[in-house]
Amino acid sequence: MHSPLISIAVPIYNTARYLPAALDSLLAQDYPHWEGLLWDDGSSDGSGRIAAAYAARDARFRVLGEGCNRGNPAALAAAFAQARGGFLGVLDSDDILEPAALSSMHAFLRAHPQLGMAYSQYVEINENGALLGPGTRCNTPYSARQLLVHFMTYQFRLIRTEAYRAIGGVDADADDAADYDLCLRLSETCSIGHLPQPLYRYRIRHDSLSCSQRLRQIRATFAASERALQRRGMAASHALSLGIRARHVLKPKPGVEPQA
Amino acid sequence: MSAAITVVIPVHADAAFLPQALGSLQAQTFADWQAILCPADATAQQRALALVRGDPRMHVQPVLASAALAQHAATSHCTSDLLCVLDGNDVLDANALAALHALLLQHPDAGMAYSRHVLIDAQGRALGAGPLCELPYSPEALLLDCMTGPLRLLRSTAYRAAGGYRDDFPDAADYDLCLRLSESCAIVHLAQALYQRRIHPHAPEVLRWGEQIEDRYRAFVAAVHRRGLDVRYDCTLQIDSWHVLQANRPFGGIRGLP
Repeated sequence: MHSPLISIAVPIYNTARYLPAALDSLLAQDYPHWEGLLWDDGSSDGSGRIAAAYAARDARFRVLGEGCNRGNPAALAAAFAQARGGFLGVLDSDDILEPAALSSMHAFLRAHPQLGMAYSQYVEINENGALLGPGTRCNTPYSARQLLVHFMTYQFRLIRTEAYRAIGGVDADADDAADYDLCLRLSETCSIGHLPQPLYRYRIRHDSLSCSQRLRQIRATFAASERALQRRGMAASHALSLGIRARHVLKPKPGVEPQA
Repeated sequence: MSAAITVVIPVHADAAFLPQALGSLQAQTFADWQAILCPADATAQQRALALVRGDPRMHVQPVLASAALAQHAATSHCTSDLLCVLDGNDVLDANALAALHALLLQHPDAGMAYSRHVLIDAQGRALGAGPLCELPYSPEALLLDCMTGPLRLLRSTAYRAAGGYRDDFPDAADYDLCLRLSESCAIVHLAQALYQRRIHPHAPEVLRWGEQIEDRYRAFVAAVHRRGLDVRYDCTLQIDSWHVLQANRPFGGIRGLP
């Protein structure tokens, strides 16, 4: 039986330092039937040239984009609109897939035909790629209800294309919580399964998010959960609250003696 | 007119809880005070004017662009020796002004005294102790947590020496003022809950939580710079968030804010 095509969207925005490792990890997959949808979202740091060089090297990569910055949700939606595969996944352009990520997830979904989406475990790495430890989000057992309060369906996710299209795909207006919003909507229409194997390396970057971006992400995540509460008809009987703890932190500068 | 204490009262848009706030001020055992009400808009101003009618100790000032500017205006011409802020949503314990006044008398070197507080809901039901006011105060600890408030009694001299209310961080004007006071004068604490802070779906803490976090952080960074600590330390902000789902509860909202 011919293995189906897996479409991996790689939204790219100014990640030239990490992009080669991400794309190399796709090239290193032991499952060969994939396409890499490299959506350059208006990068100005040479990321577009790196993507083009990989596409010139291997025809499974396709460079997409409109030369402007539309933001991650719109980039993801546009990239998936071009997908030709029967399965969809996302590789963030600063992260890394384990070599068996696609083959393992595909085998898991083939063994569980009732699932519309599956997700794996992940590990965290630092800016230099060194292992920091296992990711903890996936430790919480999945249920559609628990997903309202905890985003455990983290990377790496593989989604059946028909399940993705049945819910209308990524909401380009979901701001900084497009992946959480997508998972919530999928959880309302199909079964989701967990493969407890670490198949994804998620990079923790010190420059990842500014204070404003982090607050915007928290707002967007809470708004996605509130929308889900409404869709599920639970708003009259349940209340959703947002807990916040902001800590001011003073970190000694490297190489400078702290005050006595 | 020069009462011993000028109480500045920010009045929010709907002024829904202002009668309770003013009632708690009029019930103070310490009687030598005057109040300046700072309305957020014209509706709040009309409501405030109606409520203060008949009490010559209370005055309503014109509407200004921000709460910080309004509080600055209210304090800039006052001739009282002591200043205090009572939020128009909140309630003073009957002994609040007397207790803090007595504490400042005992500590002539202190520029500010503050108490503990409790949280209440829209109906006045107790929600628990204020989350930060039990932390030990020090000028350094204040960089990390705003434990000095919301009830504070300030000497006017210390207030003016510190530069008074500023509009640099409009959603953290009190924290910014406390940081500057902590750099120029002693601050003393009374371990009694003398103030009820009201948390409800339309409270500023709930509606503007993101802006408050950002402005508090910016005030913190400015204080670190003033104190020369930025030579040795980098400032960062760590934010944890979580969702809570509860059955049979009519309101959600924001939790975990001071």
